Amino acid sequence: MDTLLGNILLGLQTALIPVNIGYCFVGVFLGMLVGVLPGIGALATISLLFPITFHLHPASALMMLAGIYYGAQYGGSTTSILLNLPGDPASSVTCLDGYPMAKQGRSGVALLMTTLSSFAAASVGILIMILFSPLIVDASLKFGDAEYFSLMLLGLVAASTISTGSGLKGIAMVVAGISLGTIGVDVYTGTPRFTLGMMALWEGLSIVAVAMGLFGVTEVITSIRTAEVNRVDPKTVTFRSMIPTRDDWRRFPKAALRGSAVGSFFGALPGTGAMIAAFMAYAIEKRVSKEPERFGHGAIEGVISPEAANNAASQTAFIPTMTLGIPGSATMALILGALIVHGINPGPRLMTEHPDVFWGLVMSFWVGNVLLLALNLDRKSVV
Amino acid sequence: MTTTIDRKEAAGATIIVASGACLAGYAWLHYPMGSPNEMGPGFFPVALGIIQIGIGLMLAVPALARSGAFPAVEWRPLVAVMLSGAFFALSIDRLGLVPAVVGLVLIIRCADGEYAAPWIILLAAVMALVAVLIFRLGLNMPFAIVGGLG
Repeated sequence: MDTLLGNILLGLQTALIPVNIGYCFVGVFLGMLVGVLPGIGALATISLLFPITFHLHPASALMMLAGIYYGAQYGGSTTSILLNLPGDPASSVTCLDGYPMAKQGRSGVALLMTTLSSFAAASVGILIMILFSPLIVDASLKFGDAEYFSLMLLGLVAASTISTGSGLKGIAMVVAGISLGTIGVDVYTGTPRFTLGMMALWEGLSIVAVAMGLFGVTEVITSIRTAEVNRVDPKTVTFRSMIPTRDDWRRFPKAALRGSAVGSFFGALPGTGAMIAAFMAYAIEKRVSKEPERFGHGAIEGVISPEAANNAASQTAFIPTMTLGIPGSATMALILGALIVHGINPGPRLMTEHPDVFWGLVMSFWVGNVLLLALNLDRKSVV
Repeated sequence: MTTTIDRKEAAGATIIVASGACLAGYAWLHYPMGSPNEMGPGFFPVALGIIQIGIGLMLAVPALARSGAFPAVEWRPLVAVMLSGAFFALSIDRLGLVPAVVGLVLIIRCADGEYAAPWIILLAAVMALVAVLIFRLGLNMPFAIVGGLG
């Protein structure tokens, strides 16, 4: 327990350096913005900002990139509720009850409740990460090649088949990705492969170029014609409409807790993540409710629980990434890429070799979530 | 546009098969294969290529059997965005940061012709300024503001 406390203190020391608070703020603020904007997501933003982080300390770089990721979960619900238009795929289920609430003039309550439940759920996710990560690392330090291979394979197959769409296509893309990885000098024989005589390719494709090309540029190309500026809903969010009724408060704790639990679980699994967590949370909430007929017509639990789930999931998604070095999604792969670019090898040794980076990142989650809470409450009372 | 075969799926499958064939073929011709016990540098790429061909064929068969719509390809943004990136990559070392950024913005404009000229000039100016402030002055990255690396 002493080491845990020591680690938390070390993390706080790293996270509370003013420069790092600054980068964390930039990250969550940008994340919230791109979360609100339907055209652009966290993945594209992280891949576009990736090169800028080279010149930062690895801990600062990670804090900023991670902030974009979980910040987007806060922003995504705003447009779901006000415009019936999810700013982020993980917030699409929030439309089901959030938009009806807005039509009833209760958008302020919905926004306030999502902010509070997001914060509560993120806190649960962070606590789980603090408590479980050391255990996972302890177990995985005993891993040999066979265990690692199996884990990698599980991660790749799960990430490509569980999420959405055709599993076969997912696997085809995994194979295509591994094929790109064969470019460069073969580590076992020293033969340069697919370099076409270019020295620049000897070390393989740069992860920055790949991330930028696959996630950044494609996003720009596809959104050029589709991204439209949406008119703001005429029903303004007044201060009065923000005050939840006693009934809302009564329903809040259980729904937030269930959402957090569902989100924490699915977030940590590779291939699932925030979107599936939010859908599952909604389904479970509807199932346990005594009045399921209220769902779809502005049930407050239908907003609280999925938003809790996607925020908890976006924190626990860091557990396999940071403890095992196995990314559960493309965004997490970019986070790993940021580590590799800074010469840090992701994997179970990360926590012992770079405790400042690991615990600093975890503690920056608190900083980021407090900032997000403040930003969101402030923004909503201003609007 | 709906056709008798699902051309979108068929096109995707064709790309997967073709890239797999290129990978396996190139590796087969250029690198020693070795044996499964002592794999040469060609072994792994050839295996990956064959798997890709297999998956591509599995995707192609159902695509040929059903009808589907082929999405309209937005050529203009596609070409403009890629051209602008290529222009930036080629000009950053030869012309300098500011001309590269301005050229990039001007080419990007062709992707979607809805923005009026004054806005584009303003955008190019702001982008160039921000790029100089962040990358040259802030991060001290090694490229000239105007002119080649002399």
